[in-house]
Amino acid sequence: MKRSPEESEILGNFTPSKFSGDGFLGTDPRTPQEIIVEDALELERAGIDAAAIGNALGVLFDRALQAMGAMIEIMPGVTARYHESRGVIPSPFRGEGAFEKGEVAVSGLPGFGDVILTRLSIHLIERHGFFQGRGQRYRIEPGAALMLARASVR
Amino acid sequence: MEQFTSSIVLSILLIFASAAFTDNILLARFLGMCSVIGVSNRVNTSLGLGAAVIFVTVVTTAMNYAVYYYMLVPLGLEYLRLITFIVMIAAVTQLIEMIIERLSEGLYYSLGIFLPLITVNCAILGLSLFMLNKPYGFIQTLAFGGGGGFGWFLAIVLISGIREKIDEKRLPPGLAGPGITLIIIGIMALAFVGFSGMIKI
Amino acid sequence: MAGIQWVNILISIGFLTAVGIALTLLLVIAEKRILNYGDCEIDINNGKKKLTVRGGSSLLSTLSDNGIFIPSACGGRGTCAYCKVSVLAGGGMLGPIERPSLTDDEIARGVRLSCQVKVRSDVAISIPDEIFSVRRFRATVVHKKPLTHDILELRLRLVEPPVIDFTAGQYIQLESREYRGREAVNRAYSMSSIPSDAGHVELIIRRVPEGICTTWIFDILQEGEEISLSGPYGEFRLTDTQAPAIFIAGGSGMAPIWAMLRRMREIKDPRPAWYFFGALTQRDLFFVEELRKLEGELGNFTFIPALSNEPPDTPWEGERGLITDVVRRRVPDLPGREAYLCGSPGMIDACVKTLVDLGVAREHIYFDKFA
Repeated sequence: MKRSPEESEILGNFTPSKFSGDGFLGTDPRTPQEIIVEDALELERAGIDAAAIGNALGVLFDRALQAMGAMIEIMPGVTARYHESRGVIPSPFRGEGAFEKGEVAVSGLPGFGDVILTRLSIHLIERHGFFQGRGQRYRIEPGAALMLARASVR
Repeated sequence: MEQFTSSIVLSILLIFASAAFTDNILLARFLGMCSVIGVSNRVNTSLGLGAAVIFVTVVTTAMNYAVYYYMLVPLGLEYLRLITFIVMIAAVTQLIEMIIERLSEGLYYSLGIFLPLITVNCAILGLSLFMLNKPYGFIQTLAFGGGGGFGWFLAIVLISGIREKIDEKRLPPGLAGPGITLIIIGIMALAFVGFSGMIKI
Repeated sequence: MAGIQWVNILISIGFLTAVGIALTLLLVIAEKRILNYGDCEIDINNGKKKLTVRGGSSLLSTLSDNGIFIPSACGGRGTCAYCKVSVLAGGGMLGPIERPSLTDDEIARGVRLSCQVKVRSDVAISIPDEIFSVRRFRATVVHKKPLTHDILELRLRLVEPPVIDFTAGQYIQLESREYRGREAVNRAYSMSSIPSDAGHVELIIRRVPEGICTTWIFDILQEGEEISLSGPYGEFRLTDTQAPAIFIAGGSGMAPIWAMLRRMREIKDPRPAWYFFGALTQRDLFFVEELRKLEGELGNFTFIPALSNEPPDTPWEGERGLITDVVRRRVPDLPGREAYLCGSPGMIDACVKTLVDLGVAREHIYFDKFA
């Protein structure tokens, strides 16, 4: 299908660039729209919408941020730690500005293992329902996001 | 004399109306759909693109008319009309892009990305080719080009208005985007069929 | 029969060629006449410097062609927002690409993204004075010294130009090269070397997981290789007041502080100083012996390392806990204290709040936010 220049440009923002070594799609063969739609189906089955999940993940991120690198426990057996990084990374959706780098590494999540949260990935979930493509570091499986979101509201 | 001018004015109006409604280039002839499917999700962008298309159709039908009747026909090169028209359209689009960039930054920003898109819009080439089948003079060709462009503009704005109102989340997943757009175009085309036969030009 | 066909072919080819050439000429002439903005004057800092340039390019590239380097990380695409410049006149309309990167206050003051502003007429801009001394350098890698499991010290020898003129606390932009399908990028690092060592630049760099530039520095860059950088940038520096100084930084944030402390030693700065070094565990500490040595060399310097993740049963005798808690416990209660902070925005905000609570004047707190 022919793409408008706008769409081609946006797609270009999702592949590896000066700001993202692996891009936002990783090794996933699907387009961003396909990823959003399939992940949305999973959320619909659980009955929560992406904006609420993004919000809750943001709360979790702030808690880890306040600990300034010290490990915190978000639920029994699951820890999170903030790693700082200098600079900002722009959103692949043009016109949304740039987000602080720095990540929160969550470990020990049952069924998912390690999950990485960043300000940008949380924004993408909250605003677009975009959990990113498989095969790269910053994808958050909707199931993992649901579990973390539930933990953060306790 | 009065009768003469008023009949010319009448014929121009009729030609404009037929090109815009009964012979709508998008909804009756199904040309120029690719841009519509790709771009029609917002009314603002559709307004911008439609306006640019009207501009281009008027200028290119006029220039192609001149080139065809004053250069191609005398030289016996009618068979080159396709490639000549395409090259003219591309050049005119490029020129218009430059002029807009210079004259009005605001307009350039809102139209900017869509101007090059116009070159590949089959409706524009379609209008130039259809013009050849009609016994029009120069002024009438202008009306034909303007009407055709206006018809396309009307169609894309209407379609985008409908799309903006549709909550795509409530559609079956496969229909979002191109699927529902085609269905909308089809239903609108049915409505425009009601116009057919009204104006015989 | 054959003769007529040949003539037809020639005529059609000739016609198409003529049309092609005519249209191309038309467009070329049109571009020269329509998009020709002529000579434009760029007035910098109210007449401090005036440039006469050919219009038509972006402000960023026009300035860079004239030796004035505004920082940029995305190569002019409008995504990184590093290239902000105050445009006083002649900047044209605010573009849709710039809008999201600017606050309403910035827009009211005329701040624009210089990579998106096209020079079409005379322009007046205002830039920090430091930008005038920014240069592009070629350098070679002298050593890559590991300091901890994920931090190294990079020492570079400047080749062309051979010396850099900066003050302790400033940073440079390093240019990584393409590797393994990843693009070349610009990244900012504070200088940990002292200004008197003008032929060299030292950087303290921490590995960022999957980071484009740090992975290149750690895994690909070799000693002896050539590397490009530009600078100096930044307004983070030691004051002349000699008021008691509180330094707070951890990890790679130590770089500008290390430069400042060694500079203080060099000029025998007598101000009392405390350095709170926040780290997770003992293995994240570095330069510990050097800093202890500084305690003896500087008149009145106290080094306070604080670990926030050290297990409770180890023989660590120093401070434990969050850096803000340690600061609260140990900060001296002296009048006129100044504070110098370097780290992530979260850490800085927390420390600023703590210091203000403890009575340090907000305008005496200086920081280099990792932003």
